[in-house]
Amino acid sequence: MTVENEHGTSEQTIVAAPFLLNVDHVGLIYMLGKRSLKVVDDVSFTAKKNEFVAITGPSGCGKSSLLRVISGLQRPSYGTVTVKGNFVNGPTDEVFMIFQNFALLPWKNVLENVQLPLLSRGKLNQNNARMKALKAIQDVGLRGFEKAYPGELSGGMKQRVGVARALAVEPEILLMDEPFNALDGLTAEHLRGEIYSLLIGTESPINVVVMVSHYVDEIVELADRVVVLTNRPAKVVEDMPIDMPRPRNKGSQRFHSYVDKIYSLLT
Amino acid sequence: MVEPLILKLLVDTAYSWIRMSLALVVSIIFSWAVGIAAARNKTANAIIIPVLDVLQSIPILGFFPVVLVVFVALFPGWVGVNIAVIFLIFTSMSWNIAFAVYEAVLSIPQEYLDLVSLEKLGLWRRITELYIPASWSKVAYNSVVSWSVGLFYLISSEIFSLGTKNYQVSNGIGVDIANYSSLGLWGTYAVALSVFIFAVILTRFFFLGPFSSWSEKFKLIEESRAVRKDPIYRLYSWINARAASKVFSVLSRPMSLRPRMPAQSVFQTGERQITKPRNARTVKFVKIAVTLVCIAASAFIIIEVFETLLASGVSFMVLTNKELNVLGGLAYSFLRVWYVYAFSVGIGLPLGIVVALHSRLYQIGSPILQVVSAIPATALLPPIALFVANLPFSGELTAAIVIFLGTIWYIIFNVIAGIRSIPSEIFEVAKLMKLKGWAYWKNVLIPAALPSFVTGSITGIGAAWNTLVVAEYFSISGRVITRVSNGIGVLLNVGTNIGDLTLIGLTIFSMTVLLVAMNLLLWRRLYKYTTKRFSYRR
Repeated sequence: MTVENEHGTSEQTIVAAPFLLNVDHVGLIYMLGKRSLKVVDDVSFTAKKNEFVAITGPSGCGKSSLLRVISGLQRPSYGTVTVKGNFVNGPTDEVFMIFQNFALLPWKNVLENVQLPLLSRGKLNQNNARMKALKAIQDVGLRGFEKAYPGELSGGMKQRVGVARALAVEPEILLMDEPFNALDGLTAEHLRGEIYSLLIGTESPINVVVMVSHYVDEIVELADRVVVLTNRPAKVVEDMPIDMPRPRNKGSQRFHSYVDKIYSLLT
Repeated sequence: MVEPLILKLLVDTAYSWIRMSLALVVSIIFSWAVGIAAARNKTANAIIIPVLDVLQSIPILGFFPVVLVVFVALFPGWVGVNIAVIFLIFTSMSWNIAFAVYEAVLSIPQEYLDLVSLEKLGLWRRITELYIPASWSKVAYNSVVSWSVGLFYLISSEIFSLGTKNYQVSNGIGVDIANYSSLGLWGTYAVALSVFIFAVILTRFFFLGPFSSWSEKFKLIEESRAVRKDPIYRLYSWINARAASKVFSVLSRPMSLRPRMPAQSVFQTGERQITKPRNARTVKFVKIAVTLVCIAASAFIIIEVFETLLASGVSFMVLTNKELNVLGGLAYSFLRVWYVYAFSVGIGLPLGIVVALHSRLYQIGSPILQVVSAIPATALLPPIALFVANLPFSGELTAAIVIFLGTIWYIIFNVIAGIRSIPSEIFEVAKLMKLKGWAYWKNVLIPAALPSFVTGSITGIGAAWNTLVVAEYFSISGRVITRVSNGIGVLLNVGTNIGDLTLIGLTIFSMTVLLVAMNLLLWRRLYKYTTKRFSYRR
């Protein structure tokens, strides 16, 4: 099933088959009255099965906008996004997102928050949605908190609810917008330690994770590949694999050389 | 022909505006005195805050007859009438400014307080050099609000005074509006209303606007920009502050008076307040004392009323009838307020949500809504009365429409502010979840609007009671224009016209008890519950 096996077949299959996500020459231009503001300029990258891709760049460079284009929340001004070969024209069942500020509904308890998308996407009945939601809540370590409201939880626990909701939805592609940014250092550290195995584990239905982050350490710790963008308008300056065995040792020489490399690209 | 009319209208508007300005100046001075005292002195705080709290939850317009009689007795002639009108406007303007000063002084950063201590400034210098400057921005912000509220009272009291035989205001734009409409001069009425609206807009641009921007430079703490950018929110967010303070329980109020307390937490009930007051017992004692005095005063008034009645030879049967009358009127008015409120919610809630969701609609709609809402509902009473005159239940219908117009803006503007303060992530997650139609409204929009909706309801119902006093019984120069079958507005007017102070007193007393009880038993709880469960604030 690897790319090597497909050598020798026509070029088209090589390009199309292994990539679950294909961002192709995407650009975003905002109109501010008569002035136009280019936010994203001709960005292309791809992601294949079980790949964790990080997008980084200077703050305000359009990373989050790019993520919203991939999710279908926003239309690109030009270019296309395809998921499993299908064009993305709006929110699809294959894509879900974890948000910086959790995006939980304060008036719904943990269980209700997690099962809401299962019901609203119309695939499951009440009972199955509940079972699946309970399983996801257990997976993220929030068993016993099903009836708690977001206001009663700490920031780290709230983001765990966000992760549980995303897991329960079982998207092909999961997008994360600065998922650890609103958490304090230690809490973020804990969640980071668990998230990779939760998302790209053997049991997980998620095949691609795209994370926007401006923490270089976080990227080197988690990502299989990093796409570095320039300041506005965002262009790709580097698209490089982070080739390290897991779990990754943050003290290692290799870790530091990756961190230094990305920093030098950012500045 | 036209020019003298315009001139007259301008002169009368000037009269009205002088009343408004005087009331505003008095309100600001009053607010400094009361607000600074409450913020800097524990005993003063224990007395002032609960008193303000109760006073602002009473429909002030109901007191107008009494105020008129008292001031005219003290200062005969036009002086007394004008003082009465100014006093009424003052009472509508001052509460939120007073709370604003209180809040501003409380939120002065500790460094500044340390500085004035080191400089050994005396009390007077502290007030003029620190407390007053520190409160300017909040005073200015709340003046914008108070001005809008004051306009309602100005017009209403000017109109109201026309319903009485002896206490008429001679010049005023409200008088013109009422007079022309009663004479059936609808063209002139429209001109008068336009002059009024024009004056409102001019005041906003040339006085209140510059006042606000001038005061910005006195800010000690930066406030979040996002909130201030939104024009509707900017104009109507006072409602939240005012209602927040209104529902702010006297008993659950954190009594810690540490000046470094951030402004926000002043009106956030319970929960976040961790520090215990140092001499809680003294404060508690003062509170109990104040409560006892209030109870004693009410008891005294009731006994006094009884004695007056007995002394004037009124038999017990008549008294009972009078009480029953008042209770009956109150019941009618209560039902009236609630069915009109139900209509306001039915229209205001969905309308507010729709306007807030569509930025194009919001951009076009908000200035229109602002201008329309600036017209006091009572000024529209005459044409509405004429319009429905031939329909069945015309009195009831007129009153209902006018009360509706006095109520719905609070619902709409608060719901708009509530929906627009939803974080964009929530809208995004809803889209990813494919929430659509009713499911979207039920799971996201309506719950998100709830806290601000409750705030709007509290102020809206307060406004409804105020409007009701005028709308239930409307007469000009002794000619009754509208009249509902029964209600406190009718009782108050009848009482004023026949000079029956007992009837007026009983009506006001029972109304006050009802409204304070409603606030304590229903609104305060709803407010606490919705802000705890439904707001995004952590």
